[in-house]
Amino acid sequence: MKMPDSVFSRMLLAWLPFMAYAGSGVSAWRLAAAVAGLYWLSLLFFWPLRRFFPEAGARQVFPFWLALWGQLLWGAAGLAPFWVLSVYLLFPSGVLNARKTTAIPKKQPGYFFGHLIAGAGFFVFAGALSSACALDPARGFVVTPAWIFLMMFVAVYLWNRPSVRSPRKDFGAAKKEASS
Amino acid sequence: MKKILPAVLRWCFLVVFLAGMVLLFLSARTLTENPGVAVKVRKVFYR
Repeated sequence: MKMPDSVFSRMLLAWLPFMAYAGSGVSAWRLAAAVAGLYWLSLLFFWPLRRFFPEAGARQVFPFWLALWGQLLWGAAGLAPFWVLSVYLLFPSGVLNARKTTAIPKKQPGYFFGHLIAGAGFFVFAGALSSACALDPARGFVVTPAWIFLMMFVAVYLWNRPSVRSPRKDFGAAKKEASS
Repeated sequence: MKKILPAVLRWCFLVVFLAGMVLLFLSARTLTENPGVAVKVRKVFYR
């Protein structure tokens, strides 16, 4: 299965397991912080060590690593381990490819930093979206699936609306249309 | 020999990594079996 490379697609996919915690008393902001924390820890661990694993070894070990963390918080806090799925879906697949240099462009110094920033982005996105989902005015703070999907639609619409795009790109498109 | 040695070292690293994870799991489990610790960790996630 090919996972999407776009950060927003990964964040939206990674937020889906949060639906399982709706109405369970789990604080979405704290859970998002735990997801971002484990994401950063995994990135800092697997990025420098990926070359030391056997061929495709890091890719096989990664789910085991996540299962360990899921089990630890299941045992310690009674927290259902859906949240590790968020880390799995948020994690960029190129990091686990040890010797495929095409997946990790060496000449881009901001590549690793960009992945780190994605963790902070997910924390804000997941926290804000879960807070919005918990505030259903029609049902008096009772979470309904229709409201959750409406909030997801609003998030996707806000991300993809045309005015957010770079004006230079729009200008280029308009210029092409004018010239043709 | 030059080709075999890195492969053997990589497999050794994998075994050490897996053993470390099992040790981490066992030590954390004994810690969280303590009811005081479990209550504190639970309070972090639940409102």
